[in-house]
Amino acid sequence: MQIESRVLSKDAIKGFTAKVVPFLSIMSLVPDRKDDQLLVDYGFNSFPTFAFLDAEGKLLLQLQGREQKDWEEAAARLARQSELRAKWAAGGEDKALAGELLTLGLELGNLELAEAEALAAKAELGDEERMRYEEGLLAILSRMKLDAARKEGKRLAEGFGEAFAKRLDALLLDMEIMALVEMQRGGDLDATIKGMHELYAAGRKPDDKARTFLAYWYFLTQHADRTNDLALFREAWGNVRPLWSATPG
Amino acid sequence: MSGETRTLSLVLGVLGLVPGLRAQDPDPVVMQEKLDAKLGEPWVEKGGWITDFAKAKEVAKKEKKLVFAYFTRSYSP
Repeated sequence: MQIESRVLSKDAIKGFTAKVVPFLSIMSLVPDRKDDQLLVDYGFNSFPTFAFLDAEGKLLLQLQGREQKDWEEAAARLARQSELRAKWAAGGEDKALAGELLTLGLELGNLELAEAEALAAKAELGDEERMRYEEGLLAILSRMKLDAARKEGKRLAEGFGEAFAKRLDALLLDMEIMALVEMQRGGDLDATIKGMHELYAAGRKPDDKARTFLAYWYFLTQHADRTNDLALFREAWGNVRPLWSATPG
Repeated sequence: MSGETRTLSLVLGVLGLVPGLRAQDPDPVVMQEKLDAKLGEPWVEKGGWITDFAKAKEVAKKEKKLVFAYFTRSYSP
């Protein structure tokens, strides 16, 4: 990995690793090796992934940055969050504290739904903060299991406007398609194709910028192929082909 | 139609969407060698990286520190 030679091999990294517990998780595919699939257990899906965990192994923050300064900054923000949470827990439930804790948590992307809602209920949110809050709620839902996201999303949608409901629907569709793709990865191609067609038959189609757009239409080409549905094939293939043509190599 | 979907399957197979086109099960001996090689890289020891998860949590608890986890793999080309 490039990051190892570019960042982790440098002497300067010691200044950071001395302040944390540096844990290296290597997925090796060696059979029966303990914790070999830890990355998967945490729900991560790419290499490299960096994260802060607490002493119990609870995920505190998945890190986006790839530089030491990003990690140091994130550690400082987690420390600030921990300090504010302690104040909040000690009964310092004022509006400013709630606002700061909510903003910080939404920026870090590590709030649980209940905490976000409790803070939002106490904080005074302006229009911009409210937009960020709605955005943050969708991000929180996206980290949930599909059933829980559906249930909580439905509840939340009642308190927000049409735009939120629309974005929520797009998010849930994206999660449903991902769940169907996972079924195929687990070996149940028939269920995936059937499920994808059920979404299509219900008029549910992902936006062309959605990460699941290609998978959705690809499995519909399969359905069309199986059922000799030429009209569907043309539509599905019409959506897949431009992306396929753009695939390098 | 079938020809086109077969070609497409090849493309998506590369993306990992089609199980039949995934890589075959890896050779455990080769995987172990690659893991050993990765663990032997100088930056691992130099950075004081802990590779046992239970131990990392134990140290974090004792020293009241955060665990900074780096997830990587040894089997990539």
